[in-house]
Amino acid sequence: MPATVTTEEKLERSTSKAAIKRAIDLRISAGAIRSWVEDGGDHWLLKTEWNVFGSNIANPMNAVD
Amino acid sequence: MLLLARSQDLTATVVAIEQLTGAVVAQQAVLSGQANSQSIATLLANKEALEQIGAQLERDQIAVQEATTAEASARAALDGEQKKLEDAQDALAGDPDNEDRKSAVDRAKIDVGRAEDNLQLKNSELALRKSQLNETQKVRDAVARQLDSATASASAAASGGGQFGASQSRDNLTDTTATAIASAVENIVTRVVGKNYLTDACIAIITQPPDPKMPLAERQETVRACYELMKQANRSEILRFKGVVAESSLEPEPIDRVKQLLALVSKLPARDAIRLATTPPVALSPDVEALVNATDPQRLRTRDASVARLILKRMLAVGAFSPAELTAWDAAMRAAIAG
Repeated sequence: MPATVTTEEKLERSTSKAAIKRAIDLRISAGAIRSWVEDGGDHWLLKTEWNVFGSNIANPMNAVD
Repeated sequence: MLLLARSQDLTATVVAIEQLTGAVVAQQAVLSGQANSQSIATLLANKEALEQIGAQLERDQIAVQEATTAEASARAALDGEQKKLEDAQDALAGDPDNEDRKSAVDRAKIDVGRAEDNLQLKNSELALRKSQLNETQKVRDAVARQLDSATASASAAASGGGQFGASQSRDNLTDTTATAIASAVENIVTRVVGKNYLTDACIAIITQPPDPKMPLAERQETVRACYELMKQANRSEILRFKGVVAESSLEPEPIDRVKQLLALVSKLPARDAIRLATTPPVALSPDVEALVNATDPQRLRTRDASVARLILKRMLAVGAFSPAELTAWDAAMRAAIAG
């Protein structure tokens, strides 16, 4: 069982850097381990890494009390 | 522009109230074009008829005078014939056997008879002429009265007279209706007087052409302040002018709302966090479903409130929910928190 799951979200190429930054911040606020953007050619690819509950704790913020 | 908007709002309010309560205005003087033209037409027709009748009356009067003269002549002729008859009879009395005098008396009698017939004819003609004259006078008097009436009507129209339009009576209202109208008027006045024009002012600021003398940062700060004011003033107005706000390169509203929802998630009671994480108030997209199932394969969220809260945050962060769906989330969580 993987300790993390990475999601990918397509963003329009016209999305501003500020908007991408806000999207990344939102995912971090929601408990993501990390989030970053990659060039997908005609679009941006927003990748986010989430920990899996019940496995190794990858991010202290997501620790289950 | 705002003053104009206020003025238009108040005007619309007055009109609306007048629709309910009846206008407080002077009665309107009304003289229709048809009534006016009828008066004029009657006036002209009567005048022409009266002129014709006047001429006829003159002819009738002349005829009566002629008939009177003829009757007098016939009467004089009869008197003459009767005198001749008397003379002939006197002459015959002096010589009863004189055949010539007998013949003269017979002719005199015939002439008297003709004169009597002629007088009777002239009397009848005189009576007829007088009758015609009398009828003509009656007709002239009747037409003259109509002319007077038409002239009076036309004079009233010319002087701005006429009938006053009846005002709509509100006397037949039931108590329930009167109460409802009073309530409606109160609501209208309350809404208009208490209307917030802050949003309108902000829209005007946001949409006006940028002042080249104003630094860009300052303008952005002004626009941002307006956006915050609008957000607090009326959420529906924000949605309505969302396009304008977005064009101003301000922060899109959905992310703000999601951040607010993330804060609410932390305040959810344990039982409600588990319930919402297990049964979300809105449908999840397949991608979100996959994320939830992949990161919580043991379904800890169904029994662990902490996991449930974290799952809820992930749902909200990547859910790409519509404003309506975010509203549903907001309502569900606030209801749960309010308990």
